Amino acid sequence: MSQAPEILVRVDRAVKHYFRGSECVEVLHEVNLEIERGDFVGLIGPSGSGKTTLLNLIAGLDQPTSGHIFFAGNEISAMNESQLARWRTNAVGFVFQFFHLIPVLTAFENVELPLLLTNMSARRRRDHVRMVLKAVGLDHREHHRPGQLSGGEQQRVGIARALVTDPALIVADEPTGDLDSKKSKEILDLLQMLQEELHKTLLVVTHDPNVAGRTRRLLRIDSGRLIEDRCDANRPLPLRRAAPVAVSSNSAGLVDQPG
Amino acid sequence: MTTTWPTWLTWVLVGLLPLWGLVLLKYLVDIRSVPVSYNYRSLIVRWKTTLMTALGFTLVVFGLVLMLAFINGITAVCRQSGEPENVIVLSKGAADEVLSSLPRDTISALEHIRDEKGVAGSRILASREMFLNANRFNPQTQDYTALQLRGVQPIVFEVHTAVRVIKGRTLRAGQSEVMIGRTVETGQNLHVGDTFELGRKRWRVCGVFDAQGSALESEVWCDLSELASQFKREGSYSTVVLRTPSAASAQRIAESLASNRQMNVEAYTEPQYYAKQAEQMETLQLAAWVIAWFMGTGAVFGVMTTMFAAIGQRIKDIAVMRIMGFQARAILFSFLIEAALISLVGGALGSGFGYLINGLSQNANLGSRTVEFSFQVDSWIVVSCLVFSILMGIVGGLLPAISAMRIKPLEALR
Repeated sequence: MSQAPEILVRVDRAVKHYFRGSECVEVLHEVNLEIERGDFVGLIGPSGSGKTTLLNLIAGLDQPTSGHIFFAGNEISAMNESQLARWRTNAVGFVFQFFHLIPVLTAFENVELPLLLTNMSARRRRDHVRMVLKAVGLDHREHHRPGQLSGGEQQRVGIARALVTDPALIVADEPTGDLDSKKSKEILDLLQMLQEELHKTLLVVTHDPNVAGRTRRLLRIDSGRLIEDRCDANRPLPLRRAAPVAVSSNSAGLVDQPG
Repeated sequence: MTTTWPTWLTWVLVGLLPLWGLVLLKYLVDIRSVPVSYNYRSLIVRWKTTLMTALGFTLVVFGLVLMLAFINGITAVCRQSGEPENVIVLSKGAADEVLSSLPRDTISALEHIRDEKGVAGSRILASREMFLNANRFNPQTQDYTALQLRGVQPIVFEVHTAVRVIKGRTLRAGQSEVMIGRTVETGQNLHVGDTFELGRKRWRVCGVFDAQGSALESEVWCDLSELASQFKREGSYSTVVLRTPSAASAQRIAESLASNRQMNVEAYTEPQYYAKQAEQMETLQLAAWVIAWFMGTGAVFGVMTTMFAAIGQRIKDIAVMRIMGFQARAILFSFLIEAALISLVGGALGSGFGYLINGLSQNANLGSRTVEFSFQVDSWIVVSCLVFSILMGIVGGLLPAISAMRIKPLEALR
């Protein structure tokens, strides 16, 4: 049985200007883009081409100078800062190049942090965090602080943190940029698992050809314009679960939710 | 404790409580979750810095507890002093016994006073008293120590009914002997049977009395005529204390005497008199808080510096939390809570150290007299000092917390 692809993200003529002193710098020029739910999208391009800016707009961290950004049919570019913060909690997970874990918190507490923004009880939070840590293979390291973990392990904690609120979209900015090739492969395997088994939509900014090679769809950007959009037709989108997990502030369900 | 906290201010604050509650609720609902565990953990990890900053508050709060416990102790002595049935009569314009001198004709008039509205036939007793300060040479310490002498007549025990002889015996008229208050026995190391020189005579301690913690316990009592002759003050008295049948009667007589121009005297019920003596404590209490606020300013700058430094080191943490969805107000609150926790630790230590002086006895001047009191640290002092400390912490944390709230996540992670 085939399902019609669902558009999760729609970027409509997005323009982004910055002012450097009195000089106006156009970082994005009328970008149009649609991302299907469950896709694994890579965004590549030279430094300063605007790929991180585009990622920030889609993730609700920045607003376009003009144009519109829609997420699951809702215009996030019309939201104020407070609304965007609430939206991000439920809809987007973030993975950073330098992990950006909170150094004073344990792996468990780092993963638990986004759940504090939900109404989940402490007991459910605990069970849920343990399950997510197990999913990324770090259940035995939950009491360790970031400083006591290797780079690969820290990035796994970062991925667990991005995953814990069960967001529809996970954005990653150079997720393997600070890792050796072996650890990079482990992280890429993990990201691919998120897409294929948990039906997460992934948007990854990268310079790494290995990462780009793993994506299903590859976007190339240069001077603020999308110049290439290539899709691997041999890799169909993973089938969605019959009843996708609802993302809400009340339930940050993951695979333990009834599917 | 008797506090100078104005009643109207209390009512204003209580009246505003519902409003405060609403504002707080609004913020709590809006910010939903404040990452307190993060701030708490940061304090634990940086425990040395936390402790050093908290010690600033410890010093301030300790000083404040000390001052307030002192005032509390003195006020307690004043509150325990004086019997409501007694009226103390002083010469016009004298606010203190040591400055008072009543002429003989006034004394005679006072001894015949009656309460017109009182119960018919009820008797009013009058105790002529002379109060003066004198220095005694103490051969043990080779130094002079002040004694508060009260010359009394046998009727004094019917007027000051709280006085009980606890060691030795009462005075004998015409003898060079003294009874000493309980705190004089310990403070001056004088005991029954001891003798000491004062003026041209040698005095013998014949007894020790208790006055239920009142200021009288810091006095030395002797025969009135013996004292007058020693200090060449025959025919002049400091005060007359009238014993009336009831507090209401005492009140009427005090008012009647004070308004009687012919008598030309000041008259107070004893509780009124001691309350007046304690008035200086109110000024002192105000001064204590003012000093504490000034001292607290140092602690405020301490916590401000610490918090600015902490935020500078944790700028990326804050950025990540903002990206995750923590609202700017949640960040503000979390850092205010962090500052408040530092000051709470400092305040708790200060209150704890302050509590160690609870019950410690000391002498202090109250008007012209020296009284022995005990430092009294009560729950009001502890709570108000903790609240004060937390408030100062919040004041110090406010600017850094605002700066944390204003951090732009994307710029911070760049």
